[in-house]
Amino acid sequence: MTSSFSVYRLWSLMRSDFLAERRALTWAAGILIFTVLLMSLQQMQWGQMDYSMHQKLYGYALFIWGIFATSRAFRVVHDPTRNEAYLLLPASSLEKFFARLLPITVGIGIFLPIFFFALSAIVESVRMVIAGTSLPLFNPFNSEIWKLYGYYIIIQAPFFLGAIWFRRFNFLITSFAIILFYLLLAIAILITARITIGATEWQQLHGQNSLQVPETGAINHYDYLNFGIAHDLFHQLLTTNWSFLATVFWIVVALLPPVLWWIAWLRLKEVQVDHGVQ
Amino acid sequence: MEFSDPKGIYQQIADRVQEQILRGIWVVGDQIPSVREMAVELGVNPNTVARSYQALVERRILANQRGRGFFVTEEAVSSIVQTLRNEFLEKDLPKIIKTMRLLGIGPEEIANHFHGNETNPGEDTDET
Amino acid sequence: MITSNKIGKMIEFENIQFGYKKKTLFNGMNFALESGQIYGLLGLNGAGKSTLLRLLSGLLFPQEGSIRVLDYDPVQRNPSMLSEIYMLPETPHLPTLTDKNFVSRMARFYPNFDSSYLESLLKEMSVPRGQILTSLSLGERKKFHLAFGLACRPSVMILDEPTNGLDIPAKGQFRKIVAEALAEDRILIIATHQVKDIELLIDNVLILHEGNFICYQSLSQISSAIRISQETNRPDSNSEKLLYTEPSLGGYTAVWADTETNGEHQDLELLFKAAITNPEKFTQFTSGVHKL
Repeated sequence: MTSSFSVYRLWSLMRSDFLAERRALTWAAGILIFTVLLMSLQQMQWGQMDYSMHQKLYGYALFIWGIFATSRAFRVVHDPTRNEAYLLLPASSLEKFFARLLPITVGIGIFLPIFFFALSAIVESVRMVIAGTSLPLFNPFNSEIWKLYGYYIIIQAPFFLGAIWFRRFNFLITSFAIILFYLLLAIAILITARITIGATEWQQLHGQNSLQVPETGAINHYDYLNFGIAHDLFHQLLTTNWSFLATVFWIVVALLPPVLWWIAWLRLKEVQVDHGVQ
Repeated sequence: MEFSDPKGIYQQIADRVQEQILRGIWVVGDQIPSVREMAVELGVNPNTVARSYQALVERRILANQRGRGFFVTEEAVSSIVQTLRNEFLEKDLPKIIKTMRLLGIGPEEIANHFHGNETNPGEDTDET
Repeated sequence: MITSNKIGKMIEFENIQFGYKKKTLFNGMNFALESGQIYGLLGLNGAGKSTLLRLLSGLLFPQEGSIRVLDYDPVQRNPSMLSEIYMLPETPHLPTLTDKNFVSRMARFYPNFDSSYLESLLKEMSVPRGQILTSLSLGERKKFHLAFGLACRPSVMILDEPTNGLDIPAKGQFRKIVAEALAEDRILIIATHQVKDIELLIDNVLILHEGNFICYQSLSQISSAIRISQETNRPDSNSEKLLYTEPSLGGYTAVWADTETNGEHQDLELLFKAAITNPEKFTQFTSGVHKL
């Protein structure tokens, strides 16, 4: 066993968490089964067929269950009756970090598609028997499924960080923080665009109600808010290299989860017990 | 076993060992309970028991055979009796005499009690 | 069985600075604890006992200075160090599991775990088996937790108010079990207010007062340096050698600083009362007694 990472201890941690959460997991699975059955019954009654029902339900399940579980991932750290025992448990911070991250990323990503495939198979064979017709089964290899999963990972990461960072209401605070972050980002982009692009294009942009930058058109170098800095570069970027910008955007987005996870791990390493004596 | 304050526990453990030897429960050559056994039995710190035993070794009441344990020596009984005699004559007797004087009890009265007691079947008379 | 590198200084605090918000608790604290000893950590509430225990187990980080525990820095929370430390909290918050499930979940984190020892301890303390741990009484939960902690065979065993909630027979069992648990390669630290319960168990007395040790001596040494007397009249409180006095049945019990007395006069409770009633005078007294 190396001192900072051992697969055995990681496995022991996840096993322990699973045993502790067994009841909650059973409940969650039960609710899922119930919902899918209910919706199928309802559709049978109305005679409507939603061909992407299973896929939609998978999406809801992934996001609701995933984000909910993520928000609760570090409850133990903030619980004064349990945090000491948790921090003193002989496992490294890295192991404790992965023990909480893996189930709600890799675990849920493997479990839910299998679960939905099995569930759809059962539900649809029942429907076949009763109604003589059926919907296509849930396809775990559908690219849409994995696209959804990608979005989930991106959205999950800030909630994971929020779960370790904030003592209480971490879901609400994180949601609020994300909204605030994007608002500020949008404002910053708008201001930057206004300064660098100049009034003429700005009006054009504004008029078009989108960020499509006109291919041609005079750039007013003497506009009073135009500082001339990086003017041409931005202009060029926005006019000719739109796909380049989009790539940069997606790289940043793809890097976000690992960075946020990494910060969460640093935070877990540094977490101390809150103490009654002040 | 309860310990009465404020005599040091380590002294009380030594007293206990000596009493067992005097009463003939442990005789010459016997191995007495190990430090750990004694500590567990009494619920006291093993290091304290070890110190008590060490003190008894120094007084030649016990012998420490390395790796085997503590044994009652041949001179144990005489050493204990000698110490206790001195203790009695130096510490307890003056107190008794003081009380006797206070209450007006003469040596003859004590002697009567002393001889009267001897005829009663005492619990440790047959041993000593 | 006993590895030589585990004998000697096991815990070392060097120039430790720690405080909460505005209040400084420890200002340059230095001490070392040695293996094969039982330490009694005494102090009033807020004296810093829990903080000290949390610093040495890595639950809190010092603001300055360094701590070494078994040659690890507790701040790193190295699993090898954590598996050698077991801290029994005053109130055990055990999960809603049966004893068996708890052990199967937890024991695997402790490489030295000894299940037959656990069995014998649980039997000795007659802890009910096969029940959900949270349904046990406080005393039973504490006994279970003590047994589990000892069965992990840690080098450093920390017990916070271990006898709180135990009945009188259980306190007797507790003493026997702790006496048995002491080994050459192990340290036991007992933090408590129940001074009487640990009097027979401890080697060393550490009394914390406002973040400082006002007593850091072996119990036998400090006991040899005091004299306890029963007085009919209240002793003169200005007397330099008088450490503490309290009314008793026949008059007054007085604790004197007196190295001339022969033998040990051990009464940890009186000693503790003496220390916290007049810390300045007591510190002056202990500074003259050989420190650990």
